[in-house]
Amino acid sequence: MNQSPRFQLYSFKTRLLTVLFAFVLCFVAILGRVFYLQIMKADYYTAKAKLQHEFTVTLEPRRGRILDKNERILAVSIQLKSLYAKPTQIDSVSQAARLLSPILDIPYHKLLIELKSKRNFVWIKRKLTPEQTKRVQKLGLNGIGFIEEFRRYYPNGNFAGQLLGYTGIDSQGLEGIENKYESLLAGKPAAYIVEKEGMFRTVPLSNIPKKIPDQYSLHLTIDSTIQHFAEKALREGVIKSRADRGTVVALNSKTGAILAMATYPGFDPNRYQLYSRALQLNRAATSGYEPGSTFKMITIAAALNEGMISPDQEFFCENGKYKIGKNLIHDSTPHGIMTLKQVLKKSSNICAAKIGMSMPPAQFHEYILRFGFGQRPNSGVAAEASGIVISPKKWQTIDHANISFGQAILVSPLQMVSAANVFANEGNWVPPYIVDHVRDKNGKKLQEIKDTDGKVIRRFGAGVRSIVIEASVAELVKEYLISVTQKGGTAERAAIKGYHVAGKTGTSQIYDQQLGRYSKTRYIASFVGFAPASEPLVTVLVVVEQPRTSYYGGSVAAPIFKEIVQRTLLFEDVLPFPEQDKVESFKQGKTVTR
Amino acid sequence: MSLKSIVHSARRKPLSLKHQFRWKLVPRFIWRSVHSFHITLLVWGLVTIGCIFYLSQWMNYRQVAHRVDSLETQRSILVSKLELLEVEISYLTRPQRLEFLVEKTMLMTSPNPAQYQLSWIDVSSTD
Repeated sequence: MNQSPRFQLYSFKTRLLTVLFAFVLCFVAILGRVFYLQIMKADYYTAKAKLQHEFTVTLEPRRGRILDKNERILAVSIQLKSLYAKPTQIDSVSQAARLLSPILDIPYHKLLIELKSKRNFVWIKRKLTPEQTKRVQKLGLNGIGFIEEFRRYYPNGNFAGQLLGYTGIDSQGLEGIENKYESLLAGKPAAYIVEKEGMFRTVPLSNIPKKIPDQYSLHLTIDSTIQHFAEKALREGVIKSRADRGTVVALNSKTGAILAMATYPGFDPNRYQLYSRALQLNRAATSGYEPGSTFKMITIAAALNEGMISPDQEFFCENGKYKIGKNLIHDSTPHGIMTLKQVLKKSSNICAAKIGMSMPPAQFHEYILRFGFGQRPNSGVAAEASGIVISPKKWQTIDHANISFGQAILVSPLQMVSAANVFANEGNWVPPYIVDHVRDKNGKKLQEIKDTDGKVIRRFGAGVRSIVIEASVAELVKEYLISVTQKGGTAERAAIKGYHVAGKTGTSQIYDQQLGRYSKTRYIASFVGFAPASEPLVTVLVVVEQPRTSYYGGSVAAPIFKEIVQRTLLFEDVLPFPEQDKVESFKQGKTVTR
Repeated sequence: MSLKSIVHSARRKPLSLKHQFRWKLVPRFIWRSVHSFHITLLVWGLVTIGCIFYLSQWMNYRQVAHRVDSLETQRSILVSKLELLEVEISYLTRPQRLEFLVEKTMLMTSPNPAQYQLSWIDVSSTD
């Protein structure tokens, strides 16, 4: 075939152009597809790719620990495994139920119903014990898996249960300290993204949070040993007196730190569901009671401080019966003329009423407030009661008299022990506190917590003292309180051999709502005091509700006080007095190293 | 075009102090550089070395990150075990248990102030 060179050239060019056009067309088509996939559907495919090789690891926050003053663990979160099932993936539901039932202690039929469920995910049992986990893992069942969760654990059982409170199934604080400091103890979950590689290797793409994000740990002022002394003595005392219940609060006299806070009967926060609501209440801070004669020290101190009475003044105690309007006030034993010291030592209601009534109601009320009554102590303990103090404008004469010896006024045990502590602190009211400090995730000790603006939102440790009465008056009342525990006083059974103990008994009738008057059979026996009197170390209040063997504070509450304080002083190396003839000049309260 | 002439063209003395760095010469500098085989070779050589170095660093980072991740996991497991031990210690040394053991097994009783009074003189002399 003869073709001209021109034809050949055109033909070649045409073919070349055709091929080029075809290539360009293909290229444009590919480019268009690439544009569609990369630009138009970018979000969709990026997400799809991420799903295949990226996943988020969530770190559940470990609830902060609660420790006592010696770093002993009171509450901690431990990692446990929770068992779940994916019913559709289980080979034999009945066999799985039969194998799991004895290990998990769940009835077979109940388990079978759960495993036959048509849902995708079913909880079988949450927070298994390590032993149960091991046994379930050994079974190697399909469609059964574990998820790690934290469980709150209280190693000491019912030790300070009401104070600590407890947490729910999802580790949220429900009661006590656990609830009060929820924002500090609970945390927010932390997460980081991980890329899965072909070799099953995981590579974190974002910064790994520093281990499991632990929250603040709370360091309480509670001393486990003193708490144990208090709980043991209280339990024995309540059982012995066949009382309904009892409460003890012990403070460090100088700092106001709460060393022990116990209520008997107690409860175990590990199994809080088994106990009634009434047993879970921390009565030391949340309940109110009429303090009875323990309040007389407040009345006398206020009157002395105002100069309404003098230390050497004598009072006529009306031989046991004193009529105020239509009401009659009684003394447990009739008294004639008594000195101020004797009024407190013998605990005369009539003379206390006379002393209280020597002050105008507003003035007396002012002192009651200064001693910390009628307002929350803000100690950091959960659900503090403020008590009830009637406004002086509403006081009738009988109210004025009643309040003078501790009736017609409602105080919490924590308020009462703080008020008595004024006499151990030269007339200063020292605010009680339960949280000494907190530690952050890195173990740094913090006395206060600030918000993002640098404003202090929480402060821990000792608070600011306030002057209530003059030091000389406090010293004088302290002397009177020492006489209460000496021979002839109402609290001889609170005396500890080798120590000077200052304190006051209280016996108050319980107001019967149904009868509309004070009960003649139901009493509250109490004792509040501190020791050693010369250099106070510990201030303790014991309240026993409805004792049945005897109802006097001196015979029911005072021995409990003695037991707690005696053991505490020896534990703290405060040695007893030497024999008087052996050492002449000796200042009590001196400690030695064990 | 030699390297010397390119550098020279870029370093030409500015006409005034106001225009010390002459931005308009930058594209020309690049264009002329690309025209030089040696410079192009040098530039691409450097780019290639940089890329290889970056790649090796990136791979190394991923390896280290994986190692850190696995170590963190191991650490958290160990911390959990340690905490469990601490809880056990706390449980075993709780005052109630210690007192019970001391009273029952060692037949010891709680201290009494009277015990101290007997040896008071000795104690005070050591203080």
